[in-house]
Amino acid sequence: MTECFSRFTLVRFHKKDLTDETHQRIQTHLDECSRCRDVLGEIQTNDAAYNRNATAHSKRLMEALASEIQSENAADSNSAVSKVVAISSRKTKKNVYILIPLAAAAALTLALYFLPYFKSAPLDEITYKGGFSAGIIAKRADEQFTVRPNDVLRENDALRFRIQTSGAGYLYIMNIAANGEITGLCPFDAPLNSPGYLVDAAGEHVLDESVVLDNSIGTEQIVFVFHSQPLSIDLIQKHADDIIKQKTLPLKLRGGHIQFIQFEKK
Amino acid sequence: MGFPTMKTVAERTKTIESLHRRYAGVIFDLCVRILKDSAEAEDAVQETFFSAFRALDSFTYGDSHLPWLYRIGTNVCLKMIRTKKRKGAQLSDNIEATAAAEPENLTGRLSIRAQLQSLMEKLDERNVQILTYHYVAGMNQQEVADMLGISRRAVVKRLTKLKEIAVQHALEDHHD
Ligand SMILES: [Zn+2]
Repeated sequence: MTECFSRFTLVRFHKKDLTDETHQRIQTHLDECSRCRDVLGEIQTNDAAYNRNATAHSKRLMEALASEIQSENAADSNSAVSKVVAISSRKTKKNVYILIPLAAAAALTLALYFLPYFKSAPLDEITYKGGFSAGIIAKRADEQFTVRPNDVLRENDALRFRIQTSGAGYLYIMNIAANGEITGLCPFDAPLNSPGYLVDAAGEHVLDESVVLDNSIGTEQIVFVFHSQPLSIDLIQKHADDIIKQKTLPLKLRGGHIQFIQFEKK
Repeated sequence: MGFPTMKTVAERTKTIESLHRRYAGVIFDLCVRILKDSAEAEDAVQETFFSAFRALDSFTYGDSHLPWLYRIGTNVCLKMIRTKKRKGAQLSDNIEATAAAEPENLTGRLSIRAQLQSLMEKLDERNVQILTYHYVAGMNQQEVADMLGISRRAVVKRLTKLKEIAVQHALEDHHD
């Protein structure tokens, strides 16, 4: 008998999410393996259980999205405030503990949240150095400040990113933790092979989401890579490696810009 | 202001609606495995697709949306466990006490939630995620690697290092 398949593969089999060849191979295995048949049965049972109320679930989701979209549209001058509206309107559901709304949290050291509580900060807090510049705004309890290089940050400090650019391009923001681990922060929850976020116009942009620091300690960097062309994993990895090795600026990136802000976590 | 979006809102909504129709049931399967509670799992499914709507522009996992939704769903559930734990440390203590009082025949499955809570106190977030992907969501090493955009070797290395603690926490190795 062939080797058993992972539960996740059986989920993909169930959703016909595999190539014909793989699908057939699993089908053959299932014919002779009761263990995999049991797992598949459990998946099918749960799938069916949820879908017994499919219409109600879909309606609830669409209502939440509609409310989110409405608040996005209203979010011209102060997106932070509108996020609060979006969040409270979803509170009406019975689940109290989703009050801290969450997006796909990514990080070893950081958790991503939608951000209910940043005030918009004065624009001159980041220095614009021809072409591109980046800044981090931090919020601790009621205090809000711009993160300066080598600042000391703490657990539960929330960070929000902003950039200013003289043209369109692709942006990738990553965190390099004290142990060298790299986590993509923008695009949202993206792996390293992301082409980057398309910023399609010059100007100042503030990322909607924020990250909340966990309790790990050590020296960390937030790295901003901005390029006129879609980014590649090699490019991102190379610069991450450089930063880990050298821990210094300036770094040059042909055809683009790179900037990092280092801080201590205590 | 905010970053410009690459797809229109209508396009994003339509995509999420069809992803929900196709995959919500198996995301529920994932969430109920982690949370061990149907009502909470239903909420987690909602939150997963809501988050997916916001993150749709950064979708970069090739042909299938499923690994991406799995990743979001797992993170949503872990966050729910963590948030709830903070809000009600008492509850967490109760679960731990129950888990500790049971004899060995209490399988990892029944106490997965308590085990995850306890792991969260010992390990960093990424390690808890990797253990959850592998032991609870039932992904093999290659699937975990693909999803995180790292090499299989890195995943194997990490899982080997975590093996002992996984065993201590009665996490079952399903299909690897
Ligand atoms: Zn089998």
